[in-house]
Amino acid sequence: MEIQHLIAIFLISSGAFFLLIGSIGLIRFPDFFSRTHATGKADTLGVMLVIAGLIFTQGISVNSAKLLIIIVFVGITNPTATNALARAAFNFREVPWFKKDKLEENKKRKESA
Amino acid sequence: MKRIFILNSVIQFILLFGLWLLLSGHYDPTHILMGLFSCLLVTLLNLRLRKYYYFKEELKDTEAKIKGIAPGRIRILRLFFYIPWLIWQIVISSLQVAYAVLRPKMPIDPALIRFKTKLPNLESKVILGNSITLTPGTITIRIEGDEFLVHALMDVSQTGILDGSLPTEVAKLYERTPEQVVQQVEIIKSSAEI
Repeated sequence: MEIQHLIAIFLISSGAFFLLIGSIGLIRFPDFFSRTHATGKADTLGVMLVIAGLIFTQGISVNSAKLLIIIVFVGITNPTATNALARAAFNFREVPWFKKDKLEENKKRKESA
Repeated sequence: MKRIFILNSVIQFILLFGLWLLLSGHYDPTHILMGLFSCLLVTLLNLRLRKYYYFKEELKDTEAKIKGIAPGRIRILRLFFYIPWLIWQIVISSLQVAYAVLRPKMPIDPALIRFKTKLPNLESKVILGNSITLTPGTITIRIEGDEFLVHALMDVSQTGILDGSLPTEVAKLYERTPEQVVQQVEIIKSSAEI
């Protein structure tokens, strides 16, 4: 077991952890905008870490240079796609979830009960 | 204007094909023809997109560039500082989101933030928009002129914008000592205020 494989294992497993977090957040968060937080951020870092780990298993070669280019592309396109989704949702009058609204709703429910 | 479209598309085609040659590594006629075909297809698909000006500023910027008075030029050296800083911010933001996801009580308190910026051109606004999306708990929803609309997940995540540290870093890519970048900040915390 060489040191570069240890680094690669660490990077890939932490990347998988962040991808898992993104998926759990997608299910747990209350509304569309919070869910884009989970996917847009955790997934970007997750994919970047997994590819960085692959670079370490590959060593210095043409393939690892290609992987590096993919990291750059993911870093640029992922936030852009997140922004496009959020903007489309906002333009279609999707109202974000607010804590204050939720508290008021709970109050009303208590009063009526 | 039409000349710029054609010139832009030709430049795009050449860049795409160069990238293909760089990445494919096979230099026989079949592979090169396949590359030519797919690059042509992508350029043709993008031709329709290029007909529309999504932002009026793009026209303004292009005209300024032709006249040679482009407002603001990116400082390449600053990027070497900016990119590691941004990566560090991405790590922090992912850990914050992970914390919010994994806590059973889910301590989130979303807010919309509306603010105006003083940035020199369209390019810098794109950089700021993407950086906001990548940094702690905030995503850009809309950019209209100088006005940004941002969704923040937690109270902690608002600080980067409220004290102006992130927009200032982006402005520093263009000028050494930028003025007050963020103005007219407005925080929306309930659906009645939108």
